[in-house]
Amino acid sequence: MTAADAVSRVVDALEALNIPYMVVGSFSTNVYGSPRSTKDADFVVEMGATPINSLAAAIGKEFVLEQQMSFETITATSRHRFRHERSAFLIELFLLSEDPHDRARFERRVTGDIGAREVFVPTAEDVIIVKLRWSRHGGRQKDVDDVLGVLRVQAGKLDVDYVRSWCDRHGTRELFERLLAEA
Amino acid sequence: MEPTKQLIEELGREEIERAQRMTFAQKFWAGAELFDYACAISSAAIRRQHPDYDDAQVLAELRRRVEIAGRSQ
Repeated sequence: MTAADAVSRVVDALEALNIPYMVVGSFSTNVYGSPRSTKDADFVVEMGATPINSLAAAIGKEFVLEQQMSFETITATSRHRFRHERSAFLIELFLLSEDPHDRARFERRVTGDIGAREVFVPTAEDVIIVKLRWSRHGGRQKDVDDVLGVLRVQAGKLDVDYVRSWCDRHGTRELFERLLAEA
Repeated sequence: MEPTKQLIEELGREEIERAQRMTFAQKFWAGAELFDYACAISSAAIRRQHPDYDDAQVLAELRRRVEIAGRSQ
């Protein structure tokens, strides 16, 4: 099974169970910036009353749900990880949190055509806001590079004031202005 | 030969222009395709290095290498 097959299988399962979702992480960064290899696919999901085991069953037996649920500290949400039994590719599901920006980007998510179907992804502005936030907390150069990539590829198309408004709330405004000038 | 600042900037501009020309679908799937390609090359290298490994051992070693690469990013 290819990584693309794995992602398609998860999208199929989410749609079959009517679970609202969006594809985040590297997949959404690649859509707006310069594509790079990714070892996992991250989804934000609004599970509602659907148990995670029902989703696991819909995705298929060859995907192993790791029993240890973990937590993502920036938006204070929980994370479930699936591993395909014959692949090194990972699928990570983040439950939609109560974090104001997590909610806002989910409400603003958009669709994109990936061939035979459409998928939900965040807007370019929301990708930047999240990357800046992760960069502030984790100090990862990868996040800074991703922001620069999106700023350069999407130059002239971004709602910069929207990004600034969230950066002010997250304490990332100075970094954003520096990267905007550099881009 | 050291790359000049001009060459680096030119390569950067080309990368941006290439990304701007790609469709949503091409960009969405690009990361997964690059990953599969890298895994195929790594798996072949592992098999050459460890001809005695069965499929499960190759996959375990591949996962270990992917994990290490992820930590160094």
